[in-house]
Amino acid sequence: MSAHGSSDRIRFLRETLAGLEQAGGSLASPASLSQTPFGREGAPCALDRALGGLFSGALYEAAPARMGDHAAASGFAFGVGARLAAKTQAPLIFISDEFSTRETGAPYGLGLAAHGLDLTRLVYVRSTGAQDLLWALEESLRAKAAACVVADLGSAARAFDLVAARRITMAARMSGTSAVLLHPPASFNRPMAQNGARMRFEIRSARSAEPHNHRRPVPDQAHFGVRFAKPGIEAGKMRGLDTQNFKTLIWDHEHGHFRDTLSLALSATPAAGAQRTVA
Amino acid sequence: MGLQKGMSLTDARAIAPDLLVMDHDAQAFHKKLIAMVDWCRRFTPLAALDAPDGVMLDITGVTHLFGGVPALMRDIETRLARLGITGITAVAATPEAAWALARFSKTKIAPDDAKALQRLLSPLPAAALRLDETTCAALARSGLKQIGDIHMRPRAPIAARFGDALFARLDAMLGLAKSPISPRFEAPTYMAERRFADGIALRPQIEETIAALAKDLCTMLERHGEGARRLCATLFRVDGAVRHIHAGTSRPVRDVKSIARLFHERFEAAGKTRDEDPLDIGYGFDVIRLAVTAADALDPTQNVLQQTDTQARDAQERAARMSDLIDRLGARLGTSRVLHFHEADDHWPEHAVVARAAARGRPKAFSSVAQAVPERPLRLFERPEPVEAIASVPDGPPIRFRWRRLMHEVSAFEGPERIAPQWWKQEASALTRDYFRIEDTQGTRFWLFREGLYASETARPKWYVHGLFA
Repeated sequence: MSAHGSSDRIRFLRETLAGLEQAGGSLASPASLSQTPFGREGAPCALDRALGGLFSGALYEAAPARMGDHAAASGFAFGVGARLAAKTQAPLIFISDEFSTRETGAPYGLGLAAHGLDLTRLVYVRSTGAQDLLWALEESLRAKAAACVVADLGSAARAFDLVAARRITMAARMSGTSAVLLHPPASFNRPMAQNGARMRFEIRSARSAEPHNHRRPVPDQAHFGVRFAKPGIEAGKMRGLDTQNFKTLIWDHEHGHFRDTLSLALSATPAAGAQRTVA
Repeated sequence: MGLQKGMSLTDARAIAPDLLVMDHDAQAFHKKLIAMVDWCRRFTPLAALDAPDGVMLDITGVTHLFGGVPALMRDIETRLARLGITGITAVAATPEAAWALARFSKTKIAPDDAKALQRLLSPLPAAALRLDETTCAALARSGLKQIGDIHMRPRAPIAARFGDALFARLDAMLGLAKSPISPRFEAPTYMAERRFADGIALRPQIEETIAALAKDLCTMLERHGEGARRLCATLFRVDGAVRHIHAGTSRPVRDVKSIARLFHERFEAAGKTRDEDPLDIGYGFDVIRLAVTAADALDPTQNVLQQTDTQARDAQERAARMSDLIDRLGARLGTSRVLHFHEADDHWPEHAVVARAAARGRPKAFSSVAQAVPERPLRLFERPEPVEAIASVPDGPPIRFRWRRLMHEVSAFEGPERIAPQWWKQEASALTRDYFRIEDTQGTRFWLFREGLYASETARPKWYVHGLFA
């Protein structure tokens, strides 16, 4: 076969694949896919307006912006997981590589509970090695048992190639279980082919809100700077979407949803004003 | 050739000059014998080690499967011969009689009739009673050389001189008193097996066999309203090696597919340690047995009657799928790697939460006490990481600190939260910790602590990063 013939065939396969993907995956059952907003019901946040919420059976990727932002990225991933699990009360599975958690810290039960997760419905899988992690991830997705699987790839990120990504995407789509993959730091801008992930987020920890009344600043809870891009599409080419700037997002651990900083500022201002009049 | 047990080496060499001589390795021999016991379980589940040189099989109710007693004995002996072992078998109504016949008699099958058995055993030497050497020698000195000599004499004087054990043994041999066989493994409640004329050596075939056996087991389990909690697959290799593969479940299981998948993962896990041949198949397995070693009641679940209550049904099905998944993950990765977080009755940060195997049950909801503690980090380091910190006052919060070679400026802090060691548990060396929640100028939030109270516990308190907040 000539080189020309083979490239034709590859193009044909690519087009077929793209067609299937556009159809929402005719290989799967798209009827079971549902949608959950990032924010509270009826109070969409900036990400909802941009992305239309979170989808079940989708693959999301999150990468910390800097070395120290890994905890923030996992906080975001757990938030996404909790959002997806909230409606159905389905379990959440967290998979991490044992070796990598020595570097990034192991998930801490009390911290997870404080983050608003229901520990009676959380399963923590410690894998050793990339192959086991990817296997456990795929198996967890296929089982149709959980609402979301959060996987901290760690050193397994190198083994997460296009083939693995395709398998994970298919498993997620078939079962309706979403997956959030935590990548190593600073991998957001690495060029990557379209791997089937619905969206890729870059997370960095954001400064807490400035205190009012000249109080001493106190670390606030779970503030993130978030920006997003779709893998395979060049930054800046997404129509009408800002993929360059970080938007600040807050995880409300008490009520289990994300919200914008803006709404906090709005709600805080009258309260501050009221206090001032009393004083 | 005339070589005998107990002969001196010189005498033996005189008879057979080219005799191959080796030291007796008791430990290796014992190990081999235990392997033989496992191998013998292909004939009956009740196989016991009969040290130092025997295996005792309880063949009650299994002989017809092998075409009768003589055929079974032939089968065992030919199979042993194929493994290069010369074995002698004997069958009797009591273990003691079988032991004696195997070693001291030409007739290897004892008659059922008690009188005939007595006649058969009478001419055997007193050593056939399996007594210690001094008793045997004493008996010989008194002229009691054969079992018959002892049996026909009044008991009291002999018992007075040689001890009660002698007659206890004799009664057990003749079936007047019962003595049990204690098998190496208990007979499983449910068991199914397949035998093959030739060894099967392909993974898919083995897994298919396991699935077929699981089907048989599930029928049995269903009849008794039970589900398997622990399963054991025993693979008998053609050349005599026996392999046990265990699998556990988090809830009673009676589903062929779940059981088959569970063993699939176990085989996969076995493959990780041995690359080229995960099951060490060799020439193949000729007997494959699947047994339920622990079972629990499993009543047939009534599918929710009302079609309207779909949510409850969904939740029920999902819970079942979840425990299947936990079992599968546990089978491949090890059950200690699939975990739930449980609250522990402890305030020391490292011990406040324990992760336990998910197969051991779901955790209870965290108590209000655990939820009322000040905020805890999402990620906790296995060991607190030392940092160089600069504080404005010795017992105050840090102004800046260096962690993993990077300088962090503190922009906001909260604390201290003082956590004292458990003086009633730990050694006196543990120091009080003052924890701070700290945010640096980048927005990263740390959980820092200063170890040791300034002046009272230590002159130079050290600083550590213990965790990171979202």
